[in-house]
Amino acid sequence: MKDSFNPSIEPPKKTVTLVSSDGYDFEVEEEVALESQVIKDGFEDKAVDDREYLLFNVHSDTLELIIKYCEKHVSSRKSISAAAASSSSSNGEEALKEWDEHFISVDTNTLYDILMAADYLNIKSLLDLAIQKVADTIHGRSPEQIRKKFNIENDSIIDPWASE
Amino acid sequence: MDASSSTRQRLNEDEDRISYLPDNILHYILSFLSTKFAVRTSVLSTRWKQVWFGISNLVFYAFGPMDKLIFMNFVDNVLLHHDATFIDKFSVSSKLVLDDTRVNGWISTILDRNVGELVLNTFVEHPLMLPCTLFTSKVLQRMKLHVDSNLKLPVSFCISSLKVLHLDFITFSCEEEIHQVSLSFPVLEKLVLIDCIWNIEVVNIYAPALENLMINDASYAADNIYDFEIKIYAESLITLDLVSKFAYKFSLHNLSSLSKASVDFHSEHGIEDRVSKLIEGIGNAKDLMLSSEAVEILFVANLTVELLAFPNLKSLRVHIQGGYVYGEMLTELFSYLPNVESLLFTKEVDIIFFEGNGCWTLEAIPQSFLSNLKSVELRSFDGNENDLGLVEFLLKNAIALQKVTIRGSSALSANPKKQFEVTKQLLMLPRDSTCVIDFS
Repeated sequence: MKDSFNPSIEPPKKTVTLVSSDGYDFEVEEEVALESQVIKDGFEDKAVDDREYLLFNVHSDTLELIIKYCEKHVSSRKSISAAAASSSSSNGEEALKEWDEHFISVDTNTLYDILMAADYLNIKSLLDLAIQKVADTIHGRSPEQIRKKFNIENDSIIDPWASE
Repeated sequence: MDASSSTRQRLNEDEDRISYLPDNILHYILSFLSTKFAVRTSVLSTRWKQVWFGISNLVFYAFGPMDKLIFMNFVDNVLLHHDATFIDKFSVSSKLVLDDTRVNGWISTILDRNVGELVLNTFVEHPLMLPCTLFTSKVLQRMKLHVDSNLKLPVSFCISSLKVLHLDFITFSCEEEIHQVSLSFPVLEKLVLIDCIWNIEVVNIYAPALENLMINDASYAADNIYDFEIKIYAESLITLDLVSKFAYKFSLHNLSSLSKASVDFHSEHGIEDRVSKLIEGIGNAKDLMLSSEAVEILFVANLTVELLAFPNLKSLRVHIQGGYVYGEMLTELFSYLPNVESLLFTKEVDIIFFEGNGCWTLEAIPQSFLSNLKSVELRSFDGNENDLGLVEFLLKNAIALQKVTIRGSSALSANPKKQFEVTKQLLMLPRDSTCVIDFS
């Protein structure tokens, strides 16, 4: 893209390319990619012109969601701190919480994919969000309900706690 | 960036994937649950039988109706099977009256397993005798004890790793004949002491990294006054919150970083010396909150003058308890605080604001106080004559005043008609064009 076609006041943002396990390229802004502690750690060691990350464990379907999450968090953080700087009242944090809640309301398979990817990429806030979602499903349910919810087959012959 | 056309085979929705998550992830999931639910997962299948053994958070609650034996057996069983080499957190919160020997056993067990955080919030049949291994732990970072217990202190000890300490309802005594102990907390950041009883003549607390200190011994039933002294050395202290009947002498040393101090004291006894010592200790404060009872004690004991020694004080908050404060006492308080720029009144209840022998003679407030005042905030504003009179007086006489913030009382907020009246009256008050009134 030539600069003359897109005259903008801000300098063009630096981007990096994330490659999913099934070979799709995702071009994202650097600050979005740096939400991942793993990429951040690797970033400091890398040569300047090498801006491609192969994510062997993250499928494109999941990566798309992960990028969406990181983009939202980067932009929300900016608007929250801008609101704080101008001391204008903002419900940014609450709105983000709501957004998170909506974001993580996915089917169980997608939830595990997100969970594993967040663990692999080391995105703490996203990992906690996904873990909390799974924990909420377990909390307050009987073992039989949990088995049903997670399709766990009961293969134990003796209930180890039954005798106590 | 279109990945929707990817050809990945979707996993079967009916597949059990959670059981195949790695152990570290499963431990993490279980750590988000109370221990009861974490342990319960052991019956799901053979894969789950031992997953919970490795969790690092042990959190037990018993608030509903529950048999205390079942609860105690459960904790015992968990500690027996649990095999993580360290415990991040061990927490027991219950409304049950537990067997003290078993609680003591739990504490010893978890201290052996390098517990990082210990929380006990429960009742016990007899006071706990806390083990002295509490003092030798190298890994304990946070401890909150809210349980009737006795702690016999060695003459001198150091908890090298403790960052947060919250003690509620603990009776301290001393091991030796010498009635003096020295406690050293090199990295302690927050200390909360609530209704603790000290049977020790002199307690020295050294906490060079301490930033927040909260002491509350006002609800302690006994109204005795002891000749025992608690000396606190805390050069990094930023905020102090003290609610006290001064049953003990407090002396605060080296509080060179102190920014915010909040003091509320009352007593039936003559406690002038104790108050005086406290005031001396907090002289560096920039922001001071005094309760109306504290203002009264200072006034009666002729101690208000000691506030002159507060060179950095810029912000004064007066918390009015019981609905009134004597105007003449405020006048005296203000006359010793000429550098205050920000004044805030808060009220406990929405009744009468200023009282005294006659009305508060606002004209007696010295000009030296008024001329530096930049902002005033009144909470639980009732809109009565006294309240409005104060605002009118300040607008007229506080020449540097930039902002008056007024928050209506709940009674006023519930009465839109009166609120409108009060707004009108406030706006009609003569004022300098640079001063803003914020009323809501």
